[in-house]
Amino acid sequence: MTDPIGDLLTELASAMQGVTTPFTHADEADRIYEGYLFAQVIATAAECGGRVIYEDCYEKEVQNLVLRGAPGVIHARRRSFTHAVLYFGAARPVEVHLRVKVQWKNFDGESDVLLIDTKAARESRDKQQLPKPSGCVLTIEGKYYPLGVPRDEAIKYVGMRKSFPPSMASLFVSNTFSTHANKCLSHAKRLPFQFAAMPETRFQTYVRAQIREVLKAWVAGFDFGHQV
Amino acid sequence: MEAAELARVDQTLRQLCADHELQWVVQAVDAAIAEGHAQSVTEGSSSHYRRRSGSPYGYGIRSDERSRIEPEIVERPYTGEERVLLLLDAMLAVYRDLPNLRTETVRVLTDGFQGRVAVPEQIVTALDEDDEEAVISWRSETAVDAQNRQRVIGSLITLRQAVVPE
Repeated sequence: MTDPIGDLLTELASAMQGVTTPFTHADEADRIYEGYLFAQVIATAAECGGRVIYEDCYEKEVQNLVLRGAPGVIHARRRSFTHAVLYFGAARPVEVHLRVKVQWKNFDGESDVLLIDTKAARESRDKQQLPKPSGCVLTIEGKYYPLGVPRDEAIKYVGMRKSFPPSMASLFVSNTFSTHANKCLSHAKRLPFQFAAMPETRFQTYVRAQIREVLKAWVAGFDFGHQV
Repeated sequence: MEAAELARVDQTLRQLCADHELQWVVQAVDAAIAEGHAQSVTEGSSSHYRRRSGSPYGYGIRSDERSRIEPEIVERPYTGEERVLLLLDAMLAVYRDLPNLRTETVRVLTDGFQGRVAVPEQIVTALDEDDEEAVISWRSETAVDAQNRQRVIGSLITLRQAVVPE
């Protein structure tokens, strides 16, 4: 007697034996997505006519990138994590860090991808203090879920953003869509968000467009002659 | 697909996940199942597309011009079929979507953008301040690895089609 479903399950089991499981922890998936968003910032900067180099915590240019995969601080020196430096015309450079904390009043919150004025980043390194929101150009929260973004994640994000001044530009990005998260973030107002951002999707284009708007505003503060 | 067959597929997929260190995927599926299926429902929304043509309201007040009604989210438990699909989609996320994200990231970071962006020699993600081993080594997979992974993706898609025939 034929068993087509059984055959399919056997084939799947055999195929899975033939590969090393790509990602065995949720944390790994998060780090992949953060790296992807970091790359989106770099791509946007390049598309906007910017120049990008990578530096370590001593502001020395590096070719071997060590991306931060756990919460940390800009001024840490024990391990030389890498940040990108974006140059646009005569504008002051912007640094791009992964998973660093920003402080406001008595609260400190982690930013998955932080674009920060290089002056504020230097001050943080020199004074060994967390940067303040006033020096931040954009904070991006990236969430990877194999299925839809749970409602609690969006609620948590909105709560966290309320701990920071509204003047601090932010962007919530996820690989998936969910009705609940959409409702929560839509109701929050003035908190830009983008669901379903994945390679070769229009949503990836929108993420880059939102990053570009922030960069455009930043550069206009220094150089009217540079077309972002 | 019948309930008994669905249960068999579900159980086998869960066991395969357990055998391949994918418990986190099963947990994500169970969390989604616990949250339930959510659908946005707006009262009177079906009249939206009528607009003027064929509108029973003529040129007076149309149904879509009434005060805006806040959409509601209506929840219901996932069906047995949907639960299996959730598991299959979550496995596809691991075998197809995450590797695609990694490949795209490596491609962008090594693109160079006509000399405007420095091209790194090596990219890793590390966890903390100590010199512990990198947790992610960012590099493109080999052609053989990609081919083997493609076989898993093909199996998952075929199984998905068997659960919900077109």
